[in-house]
Amino acid sequence: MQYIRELKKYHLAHNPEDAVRMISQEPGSILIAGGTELIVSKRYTNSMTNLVDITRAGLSYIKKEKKSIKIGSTSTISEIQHNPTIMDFANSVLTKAAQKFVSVQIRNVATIGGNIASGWPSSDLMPVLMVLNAKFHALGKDKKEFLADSFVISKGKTLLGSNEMLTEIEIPVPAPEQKIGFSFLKFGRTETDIAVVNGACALELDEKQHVKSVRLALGSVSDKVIRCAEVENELTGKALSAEIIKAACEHVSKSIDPKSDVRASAKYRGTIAKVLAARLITEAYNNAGGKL
Amino acid sequence: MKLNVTVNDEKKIFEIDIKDSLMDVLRKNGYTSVKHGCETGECGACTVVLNGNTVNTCIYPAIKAEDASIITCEGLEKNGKLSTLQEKFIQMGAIQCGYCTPGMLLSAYALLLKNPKPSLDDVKDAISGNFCRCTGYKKPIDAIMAAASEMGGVKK
Repeated sequence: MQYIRELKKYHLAHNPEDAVRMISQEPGSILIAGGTELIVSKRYTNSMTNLVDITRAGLSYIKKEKKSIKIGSTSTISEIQHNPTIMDFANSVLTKAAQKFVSVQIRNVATIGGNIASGWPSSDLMPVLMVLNAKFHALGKDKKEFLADSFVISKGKTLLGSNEMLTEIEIPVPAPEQKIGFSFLKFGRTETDIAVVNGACALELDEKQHVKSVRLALGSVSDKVIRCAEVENELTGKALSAEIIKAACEHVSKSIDPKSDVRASAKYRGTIAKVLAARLITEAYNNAGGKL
Repeated sequence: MKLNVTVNDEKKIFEIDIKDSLMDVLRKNGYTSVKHGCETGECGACTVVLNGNTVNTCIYPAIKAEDASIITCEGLEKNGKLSTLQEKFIQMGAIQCGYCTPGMLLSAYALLLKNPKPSLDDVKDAISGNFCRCTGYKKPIDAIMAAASEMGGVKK
């Protein structure tokens, strides 16, 4: 472990309360779940001396209730990918995002809670959770709730306190009468690479087939996954055509602040973001019952 | 500290350091089919099957493997006889330098455990985290499909 050289202790927490107690009482304690970043990420430092492992704290579950789907924070990406309830839900957007989550070996170990709490702008799950209007439940001194939309402050920084842990992801299930469609797309150099741009869309139609509401989220184009409010506003209330979508997606540039890195230049990301946004909106529109 | 694990159906107790990766521990104890590749969880050369699922051992803290059941490439051979997967890799020339081969075999093995009749796309997805730098994916894919067909059957 190149970034944690002073590691002394390893605790296996048996329930969430146990884990919170350990991280609050012992200085230098950090939570790990899958631990896929532990050996490779610079976010871990020598001041961290105790690992508190929460993968056996009873938080690996996926259950469907009447109004929501609840996913325990230590459910692995593979468990999500192969879960029939998730596959049958919201045009399988979460399944699709899980399928595109790097390689099988990582998906078998990495957890949804870990992916969210890492706060990476390139997370494949985050855009989907944002358009699904997900809520994150956390435990610290008290129970807390966060909205997916506002959870990440900037790259690697979230609203989660140092003595708090994510326990559950709650996704509301739309009413059966709602005409709502979803989409997820990822554009990368290879299938298993981190996204150049990724994104998700949820689009609801009214009885006249006009856009009642739309949520569009894009990843890898700013210091966090962002919603494109200008595009959403431009589309709301309208009957859609390919031209209207294309024109609205010109507004993507107002929401994003892409950076150049080893995978793509900022300019390229900006261009791809518009194209991806248009495809996302079109697919969500068609999934909602529209025809384009 | 001590690590209790089952490797290839044998119960083992390994002496480990808290900072060791599972790859280091396995290699130190003679399981050298577990290859040391990128060390960042990207190339898949260090893949083993842990409790039925493939993992990249180079980024898997050994300490997390307590009580786990692990299969390495050494465990695919039974009583001196190679597994069907290994035979097919040899017959179909799916090996060049061989460095990615143990990982690829184990990814294929884990796939066939769960999905004995994989489609071509299932096979491609299963080995998507195993990089071959000798330019050969076609032959491993053919070999895995052939092994599946001989062992169980392949979806059209």
